[in-house]
Amino acid sequence: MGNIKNKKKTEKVVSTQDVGSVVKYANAPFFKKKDEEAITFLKKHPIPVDFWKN
Amino acid sequence: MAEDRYTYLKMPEEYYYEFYSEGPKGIIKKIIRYRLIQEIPFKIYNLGFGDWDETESDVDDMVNTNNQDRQRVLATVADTVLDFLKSHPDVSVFARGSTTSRTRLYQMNISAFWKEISDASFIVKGYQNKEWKPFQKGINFEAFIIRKKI
Repeated sequence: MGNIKNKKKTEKVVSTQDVGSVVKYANAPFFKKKDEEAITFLKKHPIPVDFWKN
Repeated sequence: MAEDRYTYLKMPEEYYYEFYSEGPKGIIKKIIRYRLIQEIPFKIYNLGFGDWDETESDVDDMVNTNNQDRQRVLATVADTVLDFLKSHPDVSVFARGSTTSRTRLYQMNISAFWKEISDASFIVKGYQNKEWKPFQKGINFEAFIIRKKI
């Protein structure tokens, strides 16, 4: 997907100064709700074991 | 497909990515985050994605930003999925939109980049009609699971 040159232009690592903001974003209430919905979905519809077999 | 993408920032320790959508509606902060939701029998990370709403101090994925850059946004999200799985080759990513139309967007994205996904040795399954089945274009799935071939 894209070439190496394109990949280098599209990726940067967040600096340590931004850690606090990142934690706020990553732990937004929306994500917690989505995770709970995903867990419920997967409990009802578990992934077959053969998905992890090559 | 050489789709244009946004430059994204990532924080590997938090399984976190962000980028800014730019268009007629202004600059919108996009948040992508992967969270471990299952460990046994295999690790599954949930894909969370949406617009950051500063007034609500929360993410919103129901909003239709309409910044006229949908393909670029989807390509950028897809890039983070593949980047995450390349960094964590022993896990899988689960994706399901908050609405049917949102899930359809994920499906469109997978279809658009299917050649690259297959060539890069990723396995994708979708949930449809009460079963998980190999991804196919043209079928409306309810959710997706993707992993890298080991």
